[in-house]
Amino acid sequence: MTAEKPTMIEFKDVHKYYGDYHALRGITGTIKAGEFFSLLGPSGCGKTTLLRTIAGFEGIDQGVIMIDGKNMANVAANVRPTNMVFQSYAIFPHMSVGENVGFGLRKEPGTREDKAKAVAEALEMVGLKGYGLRAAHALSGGQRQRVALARALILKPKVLLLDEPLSALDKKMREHMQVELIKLQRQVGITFILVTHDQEEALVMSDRIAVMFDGEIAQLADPETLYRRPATRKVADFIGTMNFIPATIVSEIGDEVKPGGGSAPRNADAALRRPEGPGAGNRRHHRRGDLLRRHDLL
Amino acid sequence: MKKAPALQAFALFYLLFLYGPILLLPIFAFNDSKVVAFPLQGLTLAWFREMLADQNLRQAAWNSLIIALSVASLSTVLGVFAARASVRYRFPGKAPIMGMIMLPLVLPEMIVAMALLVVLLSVGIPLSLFTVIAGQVLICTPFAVAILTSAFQSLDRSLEEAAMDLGETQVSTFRLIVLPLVMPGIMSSFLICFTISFDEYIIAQFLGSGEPILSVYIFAQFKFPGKVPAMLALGTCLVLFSIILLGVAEYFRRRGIARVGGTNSGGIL
Repeated sequence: MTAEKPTMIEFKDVHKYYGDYHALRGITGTIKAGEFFSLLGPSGCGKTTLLRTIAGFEGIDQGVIMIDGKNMANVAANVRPTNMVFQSYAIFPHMSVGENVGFGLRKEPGTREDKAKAVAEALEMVGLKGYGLRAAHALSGGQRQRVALARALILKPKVLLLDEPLSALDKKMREHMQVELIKLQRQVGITFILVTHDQEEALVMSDRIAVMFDGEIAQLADPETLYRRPATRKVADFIGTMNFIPATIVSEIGDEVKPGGGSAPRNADAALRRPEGPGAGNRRHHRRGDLLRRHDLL
Repeated sequence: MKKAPALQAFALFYLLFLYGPILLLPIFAFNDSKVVAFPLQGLTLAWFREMLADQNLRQAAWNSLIIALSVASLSTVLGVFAARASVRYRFPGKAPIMGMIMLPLVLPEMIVAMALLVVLLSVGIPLSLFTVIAGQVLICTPFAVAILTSAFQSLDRSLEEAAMDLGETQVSTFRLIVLPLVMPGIMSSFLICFTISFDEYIIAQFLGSGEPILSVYIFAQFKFPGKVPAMLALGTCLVLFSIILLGVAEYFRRRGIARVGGTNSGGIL
């Protein structure tokens, strides 16, 4: 791990209600600058809601959200230093690709030529060089996503928010875009926050992951820790296909737990995992290393 | 495809019943006889000349145009507000409020016209083109709301959020994103309200001040057999006008669909 990075986003006891429904139940945690961070959890766990509170599309009922040291309580979505890639991509259908990408520059200072240049650069960055004049509705799913990325990144936000951006793509395209996103994140150095329900995707792409259940963060850790030392049985169950072996603790001294038989590292609720089992979870975890190595990202 | 002769014959008869009478309009408009009956007598443009020479008719057409344009504009603007509010926001009393807006759709027009007349007279507002406009807006707004609600519903919410996310305000987002995308709906609403208002009779009759209005005027003219052929000439012009209007509307609708790459889900044509 590199030296401690500065904090980009800080949540302090964030609560959100929809009527009687308690959607976020005391979210606390930090996201560091330049980090690829994932919010992982089953549907309805509040991960998208949390992302939308960062963007400013949802208000919060209690607590504080700080972005780059500033309280976002009274800051509207259109002035926050965040930009979002929507699940549906939200490409403006009545505009060309170039107009879509340059949309955020409309109110920025700068000449027409400067803006055209910025659009061309943004398109080149996402591999759509020369697509500027195409009609946005004529693009494929993968291309739409690249347009959405270019459009969000052109304003050079401090934080890029990605709401399940890969869920609409087929498997092959998805894996390709995972690599592209990691590359892009390294290239621009912006904090990426990815919402996903796909464990593999989160493990492969993220520097750190917050696993959420029922409006709470169950565990916030790097993929390695999450995989090796899940905080609860629920996290372990969600992260990979696991074997759970019921056991009774005979004795525990420090980190050494002695269940009725062999010996294994301590695990919060004593759900023990086979250390190097051939489970699918293991293979998933190793994919990150493989993937990054293959594309010279390690 | 299997053939069903009975159904085909029915369909043919149905279409004939629907559109046959309209075909009679131009036939008798060019017929050189004061009597609207076969056999045809010969070709003439006299009825069109008579129609154009009629001062009252011209005044009626002009008044109707003013009414229809005002009603279409007002109803569509009100419809935009109501449809937007009903699709996008939750507020107390939403269901009853929307219900009340849509109610004139099923309320007999007679009742609305009578009630409005009583109220206007008791309050002491003089009848004029304006009272006709106000009454027709009440009738047309539900149509506008219905059309525009579907237009707003098909608008992806995240498009607006994306625009705000990219630095636009609520107002500029509406102007740059929402308005262009619901424009086909606005056009349809405008044209339908225009058409409803243009041939609306009951409210025009009840709430008019005696200034000639086309629908009322035409009906009155039919009392005089000698005036009928000129009215048929007018009818011919109106049919032509409707076809042109419809064609223009359809052209813009298709262009709108092509521009955003949607699939044609069938419009009026």
